Amino acid sequence: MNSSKKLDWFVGIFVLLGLGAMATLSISIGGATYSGKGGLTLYATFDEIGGLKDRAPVLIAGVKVGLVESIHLSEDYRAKVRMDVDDTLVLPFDSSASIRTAGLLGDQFIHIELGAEEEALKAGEEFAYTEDALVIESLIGKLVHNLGIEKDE
Amino acid sequence: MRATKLPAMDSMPTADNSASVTLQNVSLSFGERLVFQDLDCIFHAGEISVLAGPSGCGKSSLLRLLGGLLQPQSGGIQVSGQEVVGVKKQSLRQIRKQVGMMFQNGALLSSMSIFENLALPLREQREMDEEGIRKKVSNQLVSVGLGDAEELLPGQLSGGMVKRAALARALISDPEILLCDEPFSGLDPVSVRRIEELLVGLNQDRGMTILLTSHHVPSTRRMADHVVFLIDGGAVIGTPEELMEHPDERVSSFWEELRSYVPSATARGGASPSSAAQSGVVAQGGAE
Amino acid sequence: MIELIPAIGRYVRQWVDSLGSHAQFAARIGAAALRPPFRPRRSVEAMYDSGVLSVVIICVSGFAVGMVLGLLFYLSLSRFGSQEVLGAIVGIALVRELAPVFTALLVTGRAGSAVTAEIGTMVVTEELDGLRMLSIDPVHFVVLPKSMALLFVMPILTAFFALFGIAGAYVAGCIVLGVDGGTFVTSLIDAVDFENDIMGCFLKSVIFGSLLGLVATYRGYHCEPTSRGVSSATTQTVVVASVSVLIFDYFITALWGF
Repeated sequence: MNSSKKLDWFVGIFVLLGLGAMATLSISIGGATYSGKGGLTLYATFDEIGGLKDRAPVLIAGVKVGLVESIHLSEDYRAKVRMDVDDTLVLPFDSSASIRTAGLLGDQFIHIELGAEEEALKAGEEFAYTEDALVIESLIGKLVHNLGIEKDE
Repeated sequence: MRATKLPAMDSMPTADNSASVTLQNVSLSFGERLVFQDLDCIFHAGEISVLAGPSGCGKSSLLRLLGGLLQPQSGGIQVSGQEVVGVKKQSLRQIRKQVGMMFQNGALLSSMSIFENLALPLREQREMDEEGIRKKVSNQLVSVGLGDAEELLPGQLSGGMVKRAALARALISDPEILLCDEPFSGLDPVSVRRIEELLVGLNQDRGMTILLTSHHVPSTRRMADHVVFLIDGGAVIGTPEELMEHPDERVSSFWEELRSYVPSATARGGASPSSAAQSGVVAQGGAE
Repeated sequence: MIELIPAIGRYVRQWVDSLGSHAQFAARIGAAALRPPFRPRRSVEAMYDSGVLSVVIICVSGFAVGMVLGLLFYLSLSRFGSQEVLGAIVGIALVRELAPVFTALLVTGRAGSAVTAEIGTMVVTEELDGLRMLSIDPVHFVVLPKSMALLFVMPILTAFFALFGIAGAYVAGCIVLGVDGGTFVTSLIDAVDFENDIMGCFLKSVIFGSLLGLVATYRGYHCEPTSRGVSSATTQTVVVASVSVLIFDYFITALWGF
């Protein structure tokens, strides 16, 4: 009887430590619980989203306030991004959403620039102003083109 | 699986009410190797029968057939009037309640104490409370002389004790029929006598039908009401005395060991010669 | 040359046969799992044997593998001056691939072979027949707890392996080779995400665990009742389980990775 009690203890400790290890992996390393507080669904439509992906962060002044839930092609062939944002935020309805890049080649995220109006965006509404992702190739293309024109003149 | 048609019980010339185990036209083979061919055999209730024969003749296989652990290619086997071949799990369960089996090496679960080993089948049946189980297991262990070995593991017992523990487990559900696979193998003469006395006691006190396989000639001579000598896929059946005089040299030479001495006293008191003589005629070797 | 064709045919037929009987055996285990009585005592014992007794080998191996990874990736990354992504690379490699696969292989060798040998020995000593004669289904009493234990233990041990691997990489990369610890941890946490990497890791370990639980008990249960039979069944378990873990790993990665 005594030895089977000991067995119970060992297995119990093993399982608890194991669950702890799985939780550590999931939460601290995998970041399973972010999403902070979601609840407010907002949309934004872009002509070009570059490399924006699902679960990309949504930032205000560099602070993460939500994430991209899904990206679809809208009826007029533009990219419609659905995001889930902290529902305690009051965002003026003339706020703008832009897609930016962390560093020169880093991941892309959505940056929200606050507007000035008093009326707030409500759940399910869409940002009125958006700014597309910068695509480096087209940027360089433009630059070269402009340089070429300057030379010609 | 092909099952041959079975004649009704009462139309069998040799079957009577005292038949406890009946085999009819049983054929068994392992791959190419034929073990039994159309074997017919009857074991009467309340008798001790010894299965003998050269190694590999199928002694253990016969016991396994009776327990439903093996299925023959064809034929029928009745144990206490219930068919064993090709039946559902549920009826096999019913049959096994009446059949106790003592395995050659005990087959006790090595990770459990002797007490737990015996208590296990009772717990699984869920018919008894813990108090009843404790009492019954203790009594059973005392009756085979293992009263103080309850908490030991099977690995801690000597060979003779393992055999007695195995016997105790085979008896725990009060079976009518006891099958013993080589109960004397690997034992010293004192332990052999001890097991022998236990088996004979069960037979005399409770009228238990006992089938055992054995190479042990002296104890076979002392205990057996009948000997079933398995040879060439069939069986030769008779009392020890009859088989000692059997014309087939392979059968009679089995007793060679005994020629040198005459047993002074048989372990069992009154093996009635009349019943033995009567049943000695049943012998029918199929493939001869 | 002409004999080759029937030989191939026979081989394929045997293979399909054995696949079928594995599936049948799995169904028997599944049916037994739903049938009372439940045996907590037997399951705890089985989890002790395959889980608790494997912890040390898993943690030590995880740590060693992590250190090797730290060293190796540091040497490659420092050529491009990007040591700061060491944590990310080590984390992804460990969590997505190495932890589940290594753990499955180690548990196969440590616990799977032991399960086969134990059940096989029970076949030899007629313990399983003894149970049958007592009207106890050996699949329910012996096979079920052992296969379930292997299944449950696998994700837990995989988590241990991954954590110890990361610790090993941290020691090799940050303490020995001098990568900044904060950078290591940040890049690790940034790179490893829950839905793809961690869930994929646990999905793999659960699949490997059920695979091993099936193969190890099947081989033991169907073992030939001789000592040679037990040893060949044990070898078979290690070979079959290891190879199928590696093959399944490819398919899970291919299906789950996109």
